[in-house]
Amino acid sequence: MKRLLFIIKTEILATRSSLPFHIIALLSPILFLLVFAGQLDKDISFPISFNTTDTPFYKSIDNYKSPAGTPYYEQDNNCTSILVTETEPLKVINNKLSGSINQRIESIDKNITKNYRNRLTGAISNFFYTKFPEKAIQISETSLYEKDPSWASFFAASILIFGILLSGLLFGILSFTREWELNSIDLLKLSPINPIYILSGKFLGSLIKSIITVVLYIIFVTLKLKILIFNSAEIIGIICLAYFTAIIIGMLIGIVLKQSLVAFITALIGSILLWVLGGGFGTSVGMAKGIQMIININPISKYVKLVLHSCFNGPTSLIDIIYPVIISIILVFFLYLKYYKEIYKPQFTSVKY
Amino acid sequence: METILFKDVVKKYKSIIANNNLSFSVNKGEIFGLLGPNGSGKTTAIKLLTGLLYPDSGEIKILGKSPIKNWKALRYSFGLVPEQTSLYPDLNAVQNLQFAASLYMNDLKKIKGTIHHILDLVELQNRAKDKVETYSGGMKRRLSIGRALLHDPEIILLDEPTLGVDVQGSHRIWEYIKTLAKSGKTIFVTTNVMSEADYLCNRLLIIDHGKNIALGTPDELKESLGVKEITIKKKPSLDDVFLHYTGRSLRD
Repeated sequence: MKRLLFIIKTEILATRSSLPFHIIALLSPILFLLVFAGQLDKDISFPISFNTTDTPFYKSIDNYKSPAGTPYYEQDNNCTSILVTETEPLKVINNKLSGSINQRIESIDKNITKNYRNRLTGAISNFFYTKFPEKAIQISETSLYEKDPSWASFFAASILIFGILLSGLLFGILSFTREWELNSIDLLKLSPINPIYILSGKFLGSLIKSIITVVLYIIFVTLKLKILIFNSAEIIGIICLAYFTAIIIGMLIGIVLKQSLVAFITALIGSILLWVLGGGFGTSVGMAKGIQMIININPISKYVKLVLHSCFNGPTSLIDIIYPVIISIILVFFLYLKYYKEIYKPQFTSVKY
Repeated sequence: METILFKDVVKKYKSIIANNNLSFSVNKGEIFGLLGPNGSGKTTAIKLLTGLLYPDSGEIKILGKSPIKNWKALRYSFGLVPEQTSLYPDLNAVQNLQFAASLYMNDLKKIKGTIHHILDLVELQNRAKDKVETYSGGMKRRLSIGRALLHDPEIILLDEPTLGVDVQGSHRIWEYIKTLAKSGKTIFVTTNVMSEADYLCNRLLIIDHGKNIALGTPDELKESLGVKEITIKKKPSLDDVFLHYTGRSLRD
């Protein structure tokens, strides 16, 4: 026990040489949240210019709103990028809709054009239904979660996993990179004690340091954004399990990386890739089949799912827990083998040394 | 029985031959010096001794055992003072020693007393709680020696032990090494500082391009050149001059 404590203590105290990277890792999830969720939290009104203001269709636009009550269109006569012209005013005669609309879009890509077209189609449907107060077609929506979360809430929960990935990977990698930089790797190479002590000490030291990232993030999200992520005991289990995977992957990479800067860049790119390809930005519906397959086999996608389940009562299954646990156990096995081969009994690497 | 035996050891790095039929033996309690210019194969010899490298051919025995077959058990038998001190600058001396103890000591029950004793030995007790980054080169080197003694090894391997250390610090380190040899430890030193080798070592092996060039006591090696007394009155060395003017006390 004393042996383990000394190794953990060293792991925690030996941070100064890479302090800037530690600070970036601590603050990155909060900055990500502010950039991606803070700016996009509310429904967006499209500024749009109409050529006329007295047609029935134009008047129906006032009632064209999102469920939250935000108007889909914000009429702006100075807007020159989107101009809607009713070349033949819309009308409904004998339950038939007719008319002609020209929409001029000075957009930047196909996706924006598609979005404007969808919104205009919605506006026309809305106009059509104003003629049928009894509403022949009833639409009811069933969401994935018990209550549809806001974009900010969804993102806050998802970014929790990104924060775990970034800090876990970085601190896991640095636990070995530092040894290469200080030349203390020879101390590890000549140590006769069982590698399990060293690996466990480095893992626990990295875990204690990186958990600060999550604590800071949860405090910020709860107090500043009033979003409750830490709402059940199971979230602790999910956080620990996700850290387990992230730190083990980090340590595996760290055995071969010899510079802190390379470690930081690797952790940053690695965590973004794993998170995005783990469904961190939301549903994978519509993505290419290859991407969907990667998301399915990426254990991080299970952690994203588990966090969303915990926060918003989303769907989950036993496999979402078992799968990442199995992957993590396999990674631990590989880590032990890698350490044993490269550091504990390093004669096979004599040419590289 | 020799504590260390090297017999016709060859070690190649691709096309470079680092050790070329290197042969020597070191007896218990002896201070043995391996001398050679940079790149002559000294560090490779230490890595072969510790089992960090495998020889391509030849025989190595440490305490009568092969470091290849008995690598795990033999790791308790030697303490390495590497060329670079490999200390954690963010940690103080006690914390550095605690970490090393967790890697090398079998029994950690007496860790506190052992660290206290080591710090006394290397005269760092009064700076024990200061971060190592505030230490001078000599203090770091002394702490590095202390670290190698934690698990009370039979063999101490010192790779350039006074590299970057001032004259006072070097002389103090030499005294520690002599004291260790007197207590029965076998000392293996690599250096390219001739005054160090002359003062410190019982026997020396000069190597170049990985090959044995000359082996013997410092006096035997000097006499082997065939030059008898060339001065009647011995001139002081520059080390002597420096110490005369600056004194022998440590400057930590």
